[in-house]
Amino acid sequence: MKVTVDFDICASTGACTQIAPEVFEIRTDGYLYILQENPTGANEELARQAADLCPTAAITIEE
Amino acid sequence: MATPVADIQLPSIPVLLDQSRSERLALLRETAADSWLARNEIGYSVLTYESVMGILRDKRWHSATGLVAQMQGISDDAFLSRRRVSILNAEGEVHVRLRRLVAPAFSPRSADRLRPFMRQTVNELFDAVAHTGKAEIVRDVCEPYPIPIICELLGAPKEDWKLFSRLATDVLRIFGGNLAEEFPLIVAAQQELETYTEGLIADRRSQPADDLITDLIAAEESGDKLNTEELTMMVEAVIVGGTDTTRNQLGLAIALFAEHPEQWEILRNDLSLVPRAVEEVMRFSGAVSGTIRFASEDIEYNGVLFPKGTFMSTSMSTGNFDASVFPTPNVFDITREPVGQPHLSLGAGIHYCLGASLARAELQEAFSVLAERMPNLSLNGVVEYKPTGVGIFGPSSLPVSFSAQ
Ligand code: HEM
Ligand code: SF4
Repeated sequence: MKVTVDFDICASTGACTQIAPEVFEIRTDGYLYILQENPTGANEELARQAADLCPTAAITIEE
Repeated sequence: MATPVADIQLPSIPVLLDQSRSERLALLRETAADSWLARNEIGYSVLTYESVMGILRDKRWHSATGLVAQMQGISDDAFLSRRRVSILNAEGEVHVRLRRLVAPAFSPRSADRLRPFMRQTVNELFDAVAHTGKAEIVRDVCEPYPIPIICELLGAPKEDWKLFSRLATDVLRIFGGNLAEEFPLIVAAQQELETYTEGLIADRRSQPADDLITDLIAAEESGDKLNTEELTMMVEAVIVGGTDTTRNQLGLAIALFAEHPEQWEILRNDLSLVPRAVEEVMRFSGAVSGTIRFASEDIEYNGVLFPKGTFMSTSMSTGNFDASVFPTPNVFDITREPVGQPHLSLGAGIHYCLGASLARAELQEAFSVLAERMPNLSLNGVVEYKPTGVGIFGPSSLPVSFSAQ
């Protein structure tokens, strides 16, 4: 699985970091960072849920 | 099997709008300690961090923010026929499409670009009172502050600042406690705002500029564009969502610091704490204390069955004081270590505040300018608060003193 984020569209809402904290992180600069571009195990399903709940659909998952 | 919510014994939250905010909050937080769910006048309230997050993140609960007028018994045809999809109450694909189209204009990067203008605006407002050592800071700084910024963002001319401020305030009265009486005023303001916005859009169509309206006109994704009605709605959403919220949040912040001078000193001595201070202020005293949803289908949550159509208030102001997430929640502490779970004052889930990056930048810039320019901040009279309704809350008058420089 490969996770990508369209950073022009990401609004740093933190929805994804809440659901998949091992995959996404918002740092103190207010910007989103991807911690695992190729999540495995339980994080795969969490990344999918995060993509589904992102308000701007900024997250793309390639299986 | 989930138990139907009607069959459960629950505490109820009285309406009592004449209570002070602190009385009401105390009551709500006491209730939250015993029960995640309570009954209220229109349906139910979720009170804990987990349940507020749970409801806001669950897409089966739809936004009821477009229904507040009907819920308060308004059945005016002219008003109801004007009601149409807004980003605040759109759901599903309609909502995703709107948010995607406007998202680049509200990214952290876009907000960062406005920071110098934000600093300049606070500095200019503060210049007028700096030498006196006294201010009614709501009137002098907080009330006017967001207007130039939203105008700059949209590309509205300076002459329109006053008009703009009045319209935003009047339109937002819909979330206030006195809807029946204020209704004609609200409808008139909505109409005026719409005409004004259409004018702005027409101007930019003929004369593109470097601003949000031009960006929104151009916003396009694989051939998809906002139509004029959607554009008008988005601009209105920015005017309405971006002014009264920010000014009240800043007012609440200064009131808190004036009441906690030691926290103001900590901030003044280390401006790198500004971002944390903004989050702590919003956790401790958010300008938006709750929002509202309805069940779009029968929903089971936490072993309870909520039938389709159930109204649910989500109480951010109690969720933000949930001791299982925020240790010693009653302490206002700007040095608080982030717990990895954000406060709820900007919402959660798909309707999470569109202007969050902008709001954070506005508050951060205001904090750092004012911390430098207002040593020895303290109250210089009684803080008066706006009436507690379901809407946006903050001080109406906040006299302060500080060491003139
Ligand atoms: C400190 C200031 C602010 C606070 C406390 C605040 C709070 C909120 C909250 C709680 C929501 C969620 C409402 C819900 O779920 O029903 C929201 C949504 C929204 N806010 Fe803000 N807001 C602030 C500033 C702004 C600014 C500066 C803008 C615009 C420039 C803005 C525009 C919006 C819009 C358009 C939505 C609807 C988003 C959607 O439904 O997808 N807000 N805000
Ligand atoms: S949920 Fe979407 S918009 Fe929010 S931080 Fe994650 S990627 Fe960005």
